[in-house]
Amino acid sequence: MLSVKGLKFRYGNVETLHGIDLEVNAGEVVALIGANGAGKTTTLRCVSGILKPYAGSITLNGADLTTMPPHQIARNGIGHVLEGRHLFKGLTVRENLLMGSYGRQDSDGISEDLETVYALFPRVKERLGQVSGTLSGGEQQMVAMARSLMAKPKILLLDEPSMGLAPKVIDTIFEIIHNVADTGLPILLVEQNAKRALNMSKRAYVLEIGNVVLSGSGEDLSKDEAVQRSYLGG
Amino acid sequence: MQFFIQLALGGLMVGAIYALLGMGYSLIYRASGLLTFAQGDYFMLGAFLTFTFSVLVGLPFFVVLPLVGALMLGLGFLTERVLIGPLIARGSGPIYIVLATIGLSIFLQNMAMIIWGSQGFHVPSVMGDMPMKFGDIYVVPQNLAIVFITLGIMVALHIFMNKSKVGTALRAAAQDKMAAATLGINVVFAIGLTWGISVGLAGIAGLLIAPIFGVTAHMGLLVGLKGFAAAVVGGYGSIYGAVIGGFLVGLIEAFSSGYIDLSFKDVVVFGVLLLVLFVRPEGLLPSPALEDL
Repeated sequence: MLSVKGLKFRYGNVETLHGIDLEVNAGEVVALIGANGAGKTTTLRCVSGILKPYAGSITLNGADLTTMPPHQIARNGIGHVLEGRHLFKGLTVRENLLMGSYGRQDSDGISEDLETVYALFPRVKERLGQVSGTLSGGEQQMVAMARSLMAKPKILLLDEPSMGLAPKVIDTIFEIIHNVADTGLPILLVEQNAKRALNMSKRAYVLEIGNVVLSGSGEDLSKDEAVQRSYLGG
Repeated sequence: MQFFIQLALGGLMVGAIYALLGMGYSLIYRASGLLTFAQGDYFMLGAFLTFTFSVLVGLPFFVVLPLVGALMLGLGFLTERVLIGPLIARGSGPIYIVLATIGLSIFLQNMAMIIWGSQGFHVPSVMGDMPMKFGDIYVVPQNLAIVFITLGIMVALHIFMNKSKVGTALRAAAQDKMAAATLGINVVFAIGLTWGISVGLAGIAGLLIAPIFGVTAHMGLLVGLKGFAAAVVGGYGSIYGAVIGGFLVGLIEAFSSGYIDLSFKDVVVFGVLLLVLFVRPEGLLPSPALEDL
């Protein structure tokens, strides 16, 4: 499904990704864990085309996305919930959701997906008329995810969904991510909270300063000593 | 009272022109975070195109209006795509880009002189420039038409920006380019289109004013600055603020020239601008765009 091969990226003259290989298969939740500055966010941004790698390839179901502009990558099925939510703060929740479905023409499908999204995020439905900048952090995260789902993506990239949220709210967010995953949508999850990420992931990759240093099933990595020491506080 | 109403009508007429220009300043600021100094020159260009199509070619007004609007829209789009966008993409600082718009302004003025010459031109009125008498008040139909056409354009723009999908996308792209791109919005196109609308508004302002002020290559200088004043007074970056600011600047100008002296009008207008900068620098309707930056 999503296949990233030999991905290299540099900021100016500094190479920050040294050749990332990763794959997400149909129906899988895959976690990408690692310390700050390991290149997790950069990897996701390369996949969605916001950043352009200078080497390597990104394909989705065989279609080459590597050199496409980001809006076309989005229309080809990559949904990206950005780190820090990035809502259109001056727009209402309803308008934010409308922008999620911007690239679609199937109005029947859109209203159907709206209902699905309301079922997944009942709180979002209550807030439709509100200007999104006035929502709480957890609500903003929900709107950001709901908005990306409205694009009917083939895969969802989630960047730090729990960042800056209270533990209780994090529980809710992860419950929702579980429910989204249960619909069969593959998810590539970047998360500081490695424990939670590994718990819900089928497979995971560990990133260290721009390289994939470990990969395996979520369960195996949870038991790995190095992973435990570095990321699970054990 | 009669004198007051007479002045107010005149103030609303020029105010409409300042409002059209001011909206352009605010739209561009929202989309690119920049101040442009070429708005007055696009206003001038709109007037010259009107002169060309109405007088030289002899097209009727209802053809000239959409034609000038469309050409100016295209020109604004091109300006962003060829000049502004590439400069931003290269990482040029805002000061250099603003400087580039000053260069563009001088370029446009000189191009206009090369193409049309340095003398002024007269454009005959379409709506009628013979005053009509209502009670004690004289109304020039053309002036009234300017106010109503401007209001019509504002309502249309409001509906487009708030009720249509594309307009909402323009606002979204102005607020958060990265998020817009990840949702399938062509941000490059959206920013270009926003410039197109801004320049189109300036061009229409030039079209409307051409029969009254005449057409010269330097006609945009002071009007451009007053449109800028309108945007600042209204709250820089706020579209509705620019509309209010435009009419306010027009009215202040009309009343100060009527009750004080004609030669005082610019002194008073820019005096008010300075006062606003001291007392309420965020303008009448502070824009959320300013808080974002």
